[in-house]
Amino acid sequence: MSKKQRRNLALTCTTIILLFVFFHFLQNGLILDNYGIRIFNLCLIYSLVGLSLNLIQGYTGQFSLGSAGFMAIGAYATTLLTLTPEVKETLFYLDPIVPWLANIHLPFLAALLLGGILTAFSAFLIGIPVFRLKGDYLSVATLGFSEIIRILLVNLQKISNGTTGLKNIPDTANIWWTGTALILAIVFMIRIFRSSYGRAFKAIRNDEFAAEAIGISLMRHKLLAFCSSAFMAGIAGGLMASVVGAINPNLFRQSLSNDILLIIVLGGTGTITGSILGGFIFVIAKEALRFLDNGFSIGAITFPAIAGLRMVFFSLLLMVVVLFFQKGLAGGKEFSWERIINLPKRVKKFIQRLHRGDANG
Amino acid sequence: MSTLFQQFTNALAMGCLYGLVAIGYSMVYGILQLINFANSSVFMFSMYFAFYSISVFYLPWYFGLIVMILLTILLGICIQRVAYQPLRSAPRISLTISAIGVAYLLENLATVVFTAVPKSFPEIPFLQEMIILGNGEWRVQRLVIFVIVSMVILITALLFFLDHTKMGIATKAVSKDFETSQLMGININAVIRVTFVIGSGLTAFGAFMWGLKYPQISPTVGSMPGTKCFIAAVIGGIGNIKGAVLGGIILGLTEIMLVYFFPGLSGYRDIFAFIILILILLFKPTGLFSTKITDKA
Amino acid sequence: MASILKLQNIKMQFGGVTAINDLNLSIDENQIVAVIGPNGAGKTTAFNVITGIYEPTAGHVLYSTGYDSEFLDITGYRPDKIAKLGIARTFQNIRLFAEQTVLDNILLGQHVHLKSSFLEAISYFPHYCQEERKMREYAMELLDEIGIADYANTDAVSLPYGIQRKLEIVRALASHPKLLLLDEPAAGMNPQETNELADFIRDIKSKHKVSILLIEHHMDLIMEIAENIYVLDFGKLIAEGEPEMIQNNPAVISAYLGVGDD
Repeated sequence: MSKKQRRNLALTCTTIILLFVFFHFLQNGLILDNYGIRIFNLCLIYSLVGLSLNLIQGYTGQFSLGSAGFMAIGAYATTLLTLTPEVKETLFYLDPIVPWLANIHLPFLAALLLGGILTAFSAFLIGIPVFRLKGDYLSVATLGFSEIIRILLVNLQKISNGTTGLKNIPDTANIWWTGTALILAIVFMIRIFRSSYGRAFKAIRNDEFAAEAIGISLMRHKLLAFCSSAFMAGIAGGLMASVVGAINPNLFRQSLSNDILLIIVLGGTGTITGSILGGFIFVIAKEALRFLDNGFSIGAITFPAIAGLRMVFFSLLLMVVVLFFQKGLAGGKEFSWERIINLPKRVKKFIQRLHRGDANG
Repeated sequence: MSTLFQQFTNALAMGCLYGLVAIGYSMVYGILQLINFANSSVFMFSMYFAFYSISVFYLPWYFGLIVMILLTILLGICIQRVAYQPLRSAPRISLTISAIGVAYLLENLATVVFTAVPKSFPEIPFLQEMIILGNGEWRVQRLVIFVIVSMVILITALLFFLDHTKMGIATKAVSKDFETSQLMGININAVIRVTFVIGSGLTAFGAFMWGLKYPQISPTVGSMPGTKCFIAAVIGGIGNIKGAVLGGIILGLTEIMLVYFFPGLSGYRDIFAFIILILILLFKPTGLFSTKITDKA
Repeated sequence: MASILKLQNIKMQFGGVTAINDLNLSIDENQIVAVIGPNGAGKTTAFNVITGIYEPTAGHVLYSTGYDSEFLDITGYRPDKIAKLGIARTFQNIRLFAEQTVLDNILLGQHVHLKSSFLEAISYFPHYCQEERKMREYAMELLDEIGIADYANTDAVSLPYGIQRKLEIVRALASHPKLLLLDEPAAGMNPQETNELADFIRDIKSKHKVSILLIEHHMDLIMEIAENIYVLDFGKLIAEGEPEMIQNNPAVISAYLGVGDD
């Protein structure tokens, strides 16, 4: 290990420890109030889904529109497996829950993992027919899949409790859970990218024709990427259910998938840094821009409340980024300690250039 | 027997509607290799255009229909110009993201402009009247006949255009081989514009029929029919116009007749299209009626 | 010499167009074979049939299993399976993974023989680490062979054209193929570069014990390195033989050499 590598490892470990200390303070309400903690949790969860979509779309080049559907599976599976039989009985007062689900009551971690695995399995089932073909069929198939999941959740009263959804979900998932999940996901992504499989994913994105010609099985690798991606989305869904406390089919509409797409496009597709930047900015901006929907006034001018205005803002932002800044906020570059350490030097250079520009101009 | 007949004609009309809109998806995919996700929002806006021109400005329905088609075409061309044309040399995935972005933007814009409260599509008694055939047992809505007849006319006109006019032949050439056509001096921009005019026009027509059948307009109303029509295009073999129409008819018949024979499935009606899609992808990925292999190296 | 690959009565039609008609071809072990013919004669189509991109309308592609004279019928196999069996190729228009580094490109060439599973790879299983290390060592060896070891970590697209050609050949070699298909390797090269390429191809043939099938328009290159030549015209085989025979074959001269574009 070179000196530089050792230094970077030390920096990374320190950061993780500091992060955990930060989580500790956060969780104990020393930095943010309850509302703030909830938003922070959502930031972490949306970043996690962002990473998941990035793996299949940004990294492997397969366009998926199924984030909402995968999150829904994860959320419902985790919740149904963790709710106590008594809570289930009161929730399903219209139509009792199916017997095989009624008495299952698992610890949160087990339920979360099972939810993730179930989600990955559903991705496997869609992947098999779709990846036999080249082309964009994954986007339509996942769009349809999301819609199917929503329709099933509405109609399968005995499993999902229909449009009423599930309530009183225990708030097991605190910052420790979401934070650890995100850190693990980042480690998972880095390891994928550095492995031979990660290289193969990237090769498929670059030129799937050439990738196949050098012996990369497109079906196998796309399935691997897609199922890993779905697994992460499923976990994120399970965490989200626990953080928000109540879920219903309406939460998992197509617009949720679009939000996730915005996150990775905004941050920059194909980079871990981008997904996390995008996740945080999206969730925080969505809260900060609430005033757009509620009406506001600048001086004497009062703007009336217009519901949905901030979503117009976000969709305009998506268009602007796609049309003019295709590399996104992260600029297509990954976070690295070198860049941070060299930052003062780069800033200095930039200022010098500015000065010279001034002198000449 | 008479209800079966009625259901069958309804299904056929619905199929024609799907087929008409599917043509637009198929042609755009044939030329730009793009699933035009924005079209479902165009469909939705088109219904609002009809609402404003007929219910608010009290135009007679046939004028309303024309105004609606013109406005929709304008919208389609604008989308192409602003969101697709600048990305023509960008990676294809950017184009798809842009299409979704437009769909999302229009949907959110509609929520702001028209509010999320559903509006009802104008009623047109003339088209919604029942016509009684024969001894009174065979009844059919005038709309059904209107849809089927206009579909036949529109398809014939479109096929004539593609086979016998300069622009139409150019369009077919571009769809076969984009680069070569460009080298041969075909005006690609003009071809793409024509494609979007046709696609948006047919979408408007489809939206009009849809509104008469399901008279509720909301910002998300377009996403289901939009996606289904794309699936219809895949069933028929993407890029193939006659295939798109047949795909639409197959989809319409399956949906309505399955629910007719198995009423218990009515809550799951919207799922059939996706199941058919998966089956097609599994067993006949090039579509039922395709002739060419589009596997570009 | 035993054959490594045989094409038997291959016919390839697209719609109504016949691109290849009744093609028979055979390559011996450790032999350099060239396929020549005017543009549109069906040469690249033949490559695409061998590598599984097209399934022929009729006929068989037979590949030596390595045992005595047993052959495996690989007609219609998927491209990645064919690559795994030991047939590697390059493309007429270079298809390197442009956004990935030179080293990554070579490592990708070896991915096909990776034994560790996905989970083993991402959990840094000792077995995987060992495989990865070996892959890297071999990759550096190969890069050294073409003298660009110093550029291992630059993006493939930033290399000069001639080197990109070589890199693509080396990427194909990285998978330890038994048969290497080169599609116009000298396209866009000047005479000096073409000479170097001839030496390079001969070198890799002896060093890597690989049979080579190549499509080429540069007649000097063909005449210099090919041991056997097949001449295609309008999808049909019009001549076959050693370079001298082909040079003096009147049918070939009228079809190709006389009107050749190089």
